[in-house]
Amino acid sequence: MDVSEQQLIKGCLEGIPVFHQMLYKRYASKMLIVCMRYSNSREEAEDILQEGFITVFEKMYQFRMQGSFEGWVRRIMVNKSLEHLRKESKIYPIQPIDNIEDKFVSPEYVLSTIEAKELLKMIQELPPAYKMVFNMYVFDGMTHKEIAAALGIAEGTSKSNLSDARKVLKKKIRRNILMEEKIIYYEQSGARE
Amino acid sequence: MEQENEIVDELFRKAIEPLEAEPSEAFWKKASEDIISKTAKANDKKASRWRLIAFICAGGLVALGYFTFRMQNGLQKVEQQVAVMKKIQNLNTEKIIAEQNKSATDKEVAPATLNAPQINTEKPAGINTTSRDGYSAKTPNNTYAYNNRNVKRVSSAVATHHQNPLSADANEGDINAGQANEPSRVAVQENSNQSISSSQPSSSNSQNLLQIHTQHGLGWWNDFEKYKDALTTPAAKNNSQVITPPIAEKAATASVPATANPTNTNTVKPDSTALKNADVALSKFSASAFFSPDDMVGYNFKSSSPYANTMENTIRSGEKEKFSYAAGVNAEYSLSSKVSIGVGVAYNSYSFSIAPCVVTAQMQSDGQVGYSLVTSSGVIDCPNYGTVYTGQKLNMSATSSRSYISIPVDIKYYFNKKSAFRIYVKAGLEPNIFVSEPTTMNWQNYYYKNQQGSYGVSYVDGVRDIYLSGNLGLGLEFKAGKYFSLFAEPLGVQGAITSLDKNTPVVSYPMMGNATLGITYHFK
Repeated sequence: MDVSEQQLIKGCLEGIPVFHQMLYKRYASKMLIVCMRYSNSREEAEDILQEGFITVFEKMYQFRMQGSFEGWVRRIMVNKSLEHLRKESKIYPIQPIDNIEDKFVSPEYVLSTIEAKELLKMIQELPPAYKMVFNMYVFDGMTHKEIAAALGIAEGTSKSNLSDARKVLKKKIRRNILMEEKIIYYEQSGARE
Repeated sequence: MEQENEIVDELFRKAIEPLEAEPSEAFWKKASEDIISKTAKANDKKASRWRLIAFICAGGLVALGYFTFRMQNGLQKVEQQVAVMKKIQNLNTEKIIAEQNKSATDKEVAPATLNAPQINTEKPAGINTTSRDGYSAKTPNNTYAYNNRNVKRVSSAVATHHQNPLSADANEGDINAGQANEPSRVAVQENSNQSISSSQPSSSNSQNLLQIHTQHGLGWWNDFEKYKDALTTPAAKNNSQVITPPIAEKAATASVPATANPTNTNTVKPDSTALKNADVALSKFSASAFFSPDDMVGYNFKSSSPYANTMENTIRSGEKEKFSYAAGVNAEYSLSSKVSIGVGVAYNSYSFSIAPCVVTAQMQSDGQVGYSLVTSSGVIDCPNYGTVYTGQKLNMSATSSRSYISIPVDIKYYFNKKSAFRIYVKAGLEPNIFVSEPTTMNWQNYYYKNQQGSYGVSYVDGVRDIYLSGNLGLGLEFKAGKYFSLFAEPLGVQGAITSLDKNTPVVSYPMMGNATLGITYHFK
């Protein structure tokens, strides 16, 4: 059944279960990725997603049909993820970063070599403080000032965390590429032999 | 370096943003459980609200039915009494006729006196006198009224005994012979409209004539419904007094209904007050409609928050009443001449504005970061259209209007009995069922003043579905007609017994002053 966004919201507000199911189905896949960016595992992300949907249903009457509903749901998911990390006290510890070689390959090459899921995993594996700042800055379009206000840290800390997050990710990508290249090399040499 | 950073960011955006991931089976299972529980909860909430409304309505209907039953029962009793009285009266009339006929047969010439039945000792209005030997008095138009000894209260048909050539001399109280120049006739009219009548020339002296004055008697009976309450007043019952019908109201030429009481011959004159009351004999049941402009006297607060004083002062100084009122209907039942009990339904609305203040984004009860206003009704969460972070600020002002359906149950005590003006005090309880509280919030970015807008919010976090209040009032009732009266309660107070809200930083107990105006219809 093709239901417009407005009909969907109205149905949910009236408490009709079918519309609740439709809302889940329409946004669960997209929002799960949002939650996964902020979490360490898929299971954790699903928990956050579940809580996020509960909040969406509870607060839906506040949505005034102005702007994107998907954007509104996404913001709830981001807030839920932050809240989850706050509860787990995962935001504040900052891990020191080793000196990483600041050399990077082209994005096209990376994308042809590494799958998107691998990249997502790299983000998930970031230390929590880096992960938060990187997600908020890169995916959610927030400024360092806003990030600092949201996480209760200094603006400079936000900047350094972002920089360190990038370094870690680059290192991972390089390692991943090298690994891929090695595999390819061994596969090719094995084939020659 | 900067460029390389942008490349990294873009790489991740391009790779991850289009990604979608199908949640696991466990997630869908949880989701469906959540939907089921949410639906059940919503249904439960709706059902409990409807159950409450249904319970109140059912209670009201039962009370109404009970009062109606009592009224009908009372009316039936009166009708039965009336029927019995009519029957007795008819029987006695027949008996008297039979006796008189017999007497006339036995004696060709009428005796000077007859064995008189018991009579009224007091003459009804318009009657000249009562004969000493028990015969009735003479009316100006030479008709005679006899008391019927067997009729307890009122004999509607009047038997007048003529013995031609005898006539009653009103001044002497005797019935004298030889005055035969008055009309002589017999007219007996039954209630069933059957009539026996005969007329004889005034010169006839061979027969005692019994004149039944149907003109007044049965006419009055037909109006009996009108006077039955006067006849059944407690005073009349207790004293076994006889109240004669309102002769004065009838045509001057009409004959007089006689009344008798076998046990107590104390017959009274028509009581004008009783008759007046009888004219407007009303039920104990009445219905009112009222309107009451209200005024917020103040709040009592309770809080365990360390910021309680600040919040209380903010509410006290920030909230300004705009307009509040209550309007509704009330049913009242008189328990006695001075005490009555009433139950009603009223719609209450209290509108207020919240003066501009600065609100800071903080973690809300649901874990979200956002803006919220603490009001006397509860906490109003502001909807967020962008990501909000702790510490951000908005300038905020708002207008709100909370409304309730109330069920006032009052007891009234009247200081004086029935009169044109009656002063009373009332006291009662009032459960207030929350209906809605739409709020319009006008916001402005604390830093960027050009960013502003307004939100409409219809949900208040923490507001109770029902709160209980107590009422006190002093009023004046003015009888404006047969069935209507107007009332004013210039001094009314409504104070909350339970708080308006719960689980909020500050819970409020409002106290309202009101001045009620209304009109009451007293049922027949």
